[in-house]
Amino acid sequence: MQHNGLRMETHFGLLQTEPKTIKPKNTMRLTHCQPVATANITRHPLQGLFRHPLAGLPAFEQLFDLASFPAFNSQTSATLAVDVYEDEGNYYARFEVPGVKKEDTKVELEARRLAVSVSRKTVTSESESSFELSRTLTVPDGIHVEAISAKLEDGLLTVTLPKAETRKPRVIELN
Amino acid sequence: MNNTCTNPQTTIAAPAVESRPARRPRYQIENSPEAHTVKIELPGVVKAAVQLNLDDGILHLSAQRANTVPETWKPLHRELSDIGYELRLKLNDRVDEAGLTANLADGILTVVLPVKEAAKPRSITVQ
Repeated sequence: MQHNGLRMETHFGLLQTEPKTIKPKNTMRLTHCQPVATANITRHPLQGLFRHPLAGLPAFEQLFDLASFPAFNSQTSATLAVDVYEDEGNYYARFEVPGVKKEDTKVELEARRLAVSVSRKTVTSESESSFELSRTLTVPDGIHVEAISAKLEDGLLTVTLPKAETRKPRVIELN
Repeated sequence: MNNTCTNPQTTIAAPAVESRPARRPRYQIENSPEAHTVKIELPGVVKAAVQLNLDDGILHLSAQRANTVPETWKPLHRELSDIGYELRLKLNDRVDEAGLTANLADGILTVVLPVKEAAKPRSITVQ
């Protein structure tokens, strides 16, 4: 990624002085910044030769998309904060839910999406306040779905996702 | 901040062991004629880790988060903080300090500060 960014910068600089310069392919960032300039650019026939060998491959970008790595892909728009841990047998997702009762906690798993939502209602003599928070995590493959459990303790909600047998580390004997 | 520093009471009440990083927890205060109820959000805190001191009209709360994650758990993604909580509340004269009670449940510390009998509203019968 860093490599690509560097190249864009260089071409960006050239653009200012000579409008007919080479425009490298896949410069999404460049076109975002200067939508007007892109209209005038002609593609150099030799341009392909100077590209980064991996620049055009979509897989290359996906490889380094940290959002989908390592195990959990989380929706950042939600407000319920989460910690994700792992040990040999399980994945653990831990949420901070002070004052939330067990009956106001909902943990659902559909396909590979683990949806956790909590609500809290505070009623006082003067006012009434409530909140609802939710978070969806994409769980990795190889989860023993039936054995997922959740525990509410000291204002922390911990969802335990046991790894299926195939996912656990094992020693392979050499023949 | 300046206001706090010029208040001699607050300065005196500040304990010497203040070097540990801490954050101020979220809290709510409910007022009724009988008592002020303070609800402080302390997720991840166990009862033994809560310290509540009352000194010279200042209620000082300090709570460490228990390191509840076993050592074998390897963090993959962290958003929550392990930093403890610190809160100082200056009580006014109406509070009956002897009758103060505190209860921790579901990550919420509820501190009840009863109002002194003398300070409660009362109606005076005209003779």
